[in-house]
Amino acid sequence: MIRKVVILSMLLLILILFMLTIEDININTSARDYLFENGFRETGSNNLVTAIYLDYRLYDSIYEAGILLVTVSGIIFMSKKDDDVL
Amino acid sequence: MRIDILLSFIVVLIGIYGLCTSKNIIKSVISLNITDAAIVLLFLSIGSSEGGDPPILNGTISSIVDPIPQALMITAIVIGAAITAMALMLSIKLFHYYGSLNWKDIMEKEG
Amino acid sequence: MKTSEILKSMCKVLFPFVSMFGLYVIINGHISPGGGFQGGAILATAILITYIIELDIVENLTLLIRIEKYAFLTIILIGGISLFTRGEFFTNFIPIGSSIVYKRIFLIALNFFIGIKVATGLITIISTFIEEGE
Repeated sequence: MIRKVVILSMLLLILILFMLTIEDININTSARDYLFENGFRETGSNNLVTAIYLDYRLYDSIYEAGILLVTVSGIIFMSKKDDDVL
Repeated sequence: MRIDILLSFIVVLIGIYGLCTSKNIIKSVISLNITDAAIVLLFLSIGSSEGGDPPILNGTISSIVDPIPQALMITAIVIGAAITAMALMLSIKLFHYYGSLNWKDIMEKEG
Repeated sequence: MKTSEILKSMCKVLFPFVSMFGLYVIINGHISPGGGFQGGAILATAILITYIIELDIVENLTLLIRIEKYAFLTIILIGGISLFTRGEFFTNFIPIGSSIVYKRIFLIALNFFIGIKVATGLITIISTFIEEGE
């Protein structure tokens, strides 16, 4: 019981600090404006999300595909051997 | 004060609270999923703006929402699915080995 | 577990449309909402439908794993071609001054291979869980 009260008070403190932080939030929009002006001409894609994850940030997509491959091989490894893994 | 950012951050805190206090492994995995989805909501609400159209250029729109958080969140969704599959397979193995899905029972049997 | 006849008929009707919609989302990823990851998830859902009607479409997992490995290698190779044409890694390999029609070749090819990779990965995960439960 005392543990839940401590955790709740800590989360409440985090929430109050976050509220103070976003009180005067001011988001820089220069990247958005640059993409809106030049994104179609530089990449040839109408969909700007595709333009970002296939051209500007291709590293992200490639390593994400790698993470999926590693996960699949790990799941098959744990599924093949019965009770030997743990 | 942007109310959408605040609400999605409250959902993040609910997920963390469930992660701290749940006694079952499956409930911990569900809390992890809630935190993941809430972080996606938080990023999308930070990137959105009033009156912005979706970032599909067709020549007639005048202002768009920020496409960079959306492109990052595609990565986060796929990695969340991978983490969920891994955690579920590990919990299956734990259940076969210890015969229970409670954190305390497993810790007692481990010794 | 016995599945009803109505469910089997509806799944047989639904399967070609779902897979066709997944391919449409993958191929048109550069001009409409969608892309490789989303279309791959839709394709994996189409295979998941066939498990309800017990067709056992996935029999050997090693073939799926092999397809996924080769698709991943192809993605890295397509991304690496730009070292020779543009002089930097992991960007579009068509030169920057050329027409937009040629630049779309890169986007369509990479979307296609990413879609195949994500679909085979998710099908493998689902099949492994179903085998584990039997």
